[in-house]
Amino acid sequence: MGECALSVKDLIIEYDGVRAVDRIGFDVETGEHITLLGPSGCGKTSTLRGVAGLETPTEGTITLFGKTVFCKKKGINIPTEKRELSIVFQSYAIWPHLTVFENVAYPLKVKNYSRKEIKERVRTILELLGLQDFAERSATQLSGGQQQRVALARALVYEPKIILFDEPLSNLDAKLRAKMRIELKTLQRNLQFTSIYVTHDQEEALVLSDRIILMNNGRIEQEGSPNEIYTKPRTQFAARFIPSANLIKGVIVESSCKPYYELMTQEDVSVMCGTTAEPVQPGQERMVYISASYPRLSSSAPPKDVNVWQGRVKMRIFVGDYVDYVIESGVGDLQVRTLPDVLHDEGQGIFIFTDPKYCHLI
Amino acid sequence: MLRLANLFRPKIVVLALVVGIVITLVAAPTFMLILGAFTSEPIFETDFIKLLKGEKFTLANFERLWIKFDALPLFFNSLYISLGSTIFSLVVGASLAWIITRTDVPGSRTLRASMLIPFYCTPIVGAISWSMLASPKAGLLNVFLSPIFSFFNIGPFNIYTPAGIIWVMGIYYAPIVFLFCAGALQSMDPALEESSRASGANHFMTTMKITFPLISPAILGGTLLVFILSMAAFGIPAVLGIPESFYVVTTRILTLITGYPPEHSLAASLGLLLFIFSAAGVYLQKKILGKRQFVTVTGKGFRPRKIKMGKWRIPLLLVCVLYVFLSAILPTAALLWTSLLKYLVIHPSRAQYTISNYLYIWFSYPNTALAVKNSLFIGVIGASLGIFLNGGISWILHRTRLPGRSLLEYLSMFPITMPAIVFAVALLWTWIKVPYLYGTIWLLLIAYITVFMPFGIRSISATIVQIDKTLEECAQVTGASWFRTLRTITFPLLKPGIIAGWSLLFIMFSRELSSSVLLCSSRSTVMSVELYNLYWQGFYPVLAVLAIVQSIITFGILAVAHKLGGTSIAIT
Repeated sequence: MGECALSVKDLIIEYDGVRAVDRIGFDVETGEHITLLGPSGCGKTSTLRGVAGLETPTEGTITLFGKTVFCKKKGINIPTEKRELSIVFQSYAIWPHLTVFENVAYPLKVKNYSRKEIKERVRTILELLGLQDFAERSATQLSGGQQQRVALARALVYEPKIILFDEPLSNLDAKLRAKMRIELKTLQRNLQFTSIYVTHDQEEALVLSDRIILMNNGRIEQEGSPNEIYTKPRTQFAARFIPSANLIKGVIVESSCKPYYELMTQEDVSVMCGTTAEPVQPGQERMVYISASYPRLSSSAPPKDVNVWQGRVKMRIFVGDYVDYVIESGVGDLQVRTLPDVLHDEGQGIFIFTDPKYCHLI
Repeated sequence: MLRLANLFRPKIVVLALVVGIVITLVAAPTFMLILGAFTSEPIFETDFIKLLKGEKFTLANFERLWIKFDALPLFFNSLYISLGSTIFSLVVGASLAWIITRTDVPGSRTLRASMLIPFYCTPIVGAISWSMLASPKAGLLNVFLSPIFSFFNIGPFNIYTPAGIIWVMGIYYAPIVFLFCAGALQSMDPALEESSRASGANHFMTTMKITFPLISPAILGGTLLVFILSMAAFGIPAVLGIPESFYVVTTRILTLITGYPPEHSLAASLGLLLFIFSAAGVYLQKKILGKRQFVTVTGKGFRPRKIKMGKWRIPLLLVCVLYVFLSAILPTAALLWTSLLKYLVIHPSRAQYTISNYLYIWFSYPNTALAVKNSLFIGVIGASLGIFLNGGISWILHRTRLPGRSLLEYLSMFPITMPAIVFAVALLWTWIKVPYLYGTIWLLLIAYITVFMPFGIRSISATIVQIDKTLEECAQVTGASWFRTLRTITFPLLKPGIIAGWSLLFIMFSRELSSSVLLCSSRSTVMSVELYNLYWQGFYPVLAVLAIVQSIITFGILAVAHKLGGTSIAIT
């Protein structure tokens, strides 16, 4: 707590007349792990590179640990090599003409550490990441996952205060990605550093962040903890960005069951909602966001007063750890995700109940 | 905020220096050429101030060219041989590319390497060897085949005809089309053809309807390049055309300058016309290649599967071997044989052999020894200077975002539009008044570095572009200064490309003829010019020895570079 690790104000980055980053600002506290999340072209990588000094912003101020490293007005632009941060690139950027040891030792050599210290530090970090047997290998003889760890080792070896991650797991296959996510999370817990992570993968963002900054078209769409982003998205874009989100269109009506809000769909089915992103008035067109994990399915009508809908199982997709259903119902096609303990057949009539506290108005 | 200090950042200084050098090398001679084309006296003999004011502007040169000097038939001749050699090399190059890369013809790797031999041979040596083989009176082929000729009652081969020129040029330019097509064929996503086969088309239909159309940009690119090179060619049309008074634009430019009385202005005007023609061709080629390939380079690394040819494997192999035989083996054999003769004979059976030519070439012909020394000197120094300059330009173009980059790119690629001999005329005029330069090898150096700038740049750029930017950025992030990054990361990764680029420049420098023939003096003669002179003097055995020496040097450098660099030399 306390010191501000990174402060970005009024940042604009333009390329050839196109605004990749359109006046954004955010702060990161020391020890915090935040993620810039968004689709391709939303400006997250440009922002990261701007913070690193690899791109020159058109306007704005960037401050790292109290020191201004970029300020357009005052003409300050500290070059990358003096900003004392560390980056893990998507392509890993492992130098092919150096061995694993030499790759990891490079930053220490640049900072003029003694040979003894270099050897010690490199050995330690290689062991931490399980790479001690690969030290003398040419860096190109490693698999993708191993190269990823070398890149990590290199980024950690000189104990930087802040580490930037540019989609580091995108080039790995799904299983390895899941594994590396956990490893990264463990490192976050055990080592002291602040990190800024860039990704388009919502799961990664949810797993690895204390706070998520959702970006769209160069602007910040929503900022919040993973839980907030997941349960209370503020806009359609934010909602659509969550895996397995259901969005139901309707019109706000005078609520028949306070303190909930009521939304009436086109088919005159009513949805009671517990929270809303903005204050609502009857007559407005809104959407309800329901994550697929919350609706409960049962073959017979559940003993609840509100939010019980009748439907039919349109499709059942067995994914092993869970089952995805698409249910045709009065509120439209709902995606519901359940544990695989009870299976409902396709074509079966089904009842859905969703607790209003999981229905969020956008 | 633009502070004055910003102007003197090292990057800006380097950019200014490089742009300055390129402007001097490229723009100044071009300017002089244009001036000279529109002046009826040689501009180095007129009042320069009056010239710049435009007082001497005239179109008289072009008038004279048209009426007196038959400019039109000249252009027809150039077009004729260019079209001929283009079509020939297209057919040969594209077919061989397909055979070697897509069928299961045996020994494809050796064949692929052999296809490049004619590319590294000096064109004039090829022309001379073929004149030894197919000259109507004493050509070796004609002599050996005369019984067949008399049986069928047909005439002997005559290499001193437009057809002969087309034959030799076609053989030596076919590798260019080959490289373009083979490259495109090998990086093609196999799925594109496989879907055609899955839809029911057989191999032939797939090849005709899918494969070739997909690589048509590469085919067109290669063909156009050959056409441009043919129009600008000097050596082969000179050796094979002049004996029978068949002139093309380039050879006529030479006679205009070296003839009596020298017609410098006419040469400039003729050169300007050829230059405009050539520039149009390059522009066209860029436009076509601009619509790059439809072919996607597959990231998964699957190569297209080779088509099984069954009983056709051997015939196809023979076709390839025939090309290698005609382009490399036969001419080399003729050269070797001639080099061992005491003197030229009509019939080989009466030949007397000696190896004295090899021994005495250094002593009896002092020019020759000087020529070899000069060529080596220019090759080494020139290639090194060239790599520095080209490397700097490539780096500015691909690794910085400095303003003025596109101007620099345009200027430095400009020399490819000007035929070398036209450029030599322009250079002559620019430097003729400078005594320390004119007639020395330094003038040759300037000419070579400028003429081959586009090739050096392309070669190095190809390597720079392959190096992922993040490799250097990563070093920067860890705290390495710009210079340290360059030293520890960029340069080691560039080394193979630099070696390849250096070797390419060396080879091109050591065999250049078109501009050397105008710029050489007796003090600054080089190997190709000596070959050229020896040819006109008729000293064939010595000529053959020198040609072999030059080939040994060229392939020697190639071998060393291959060992050091490991990668093949890219030409485009």
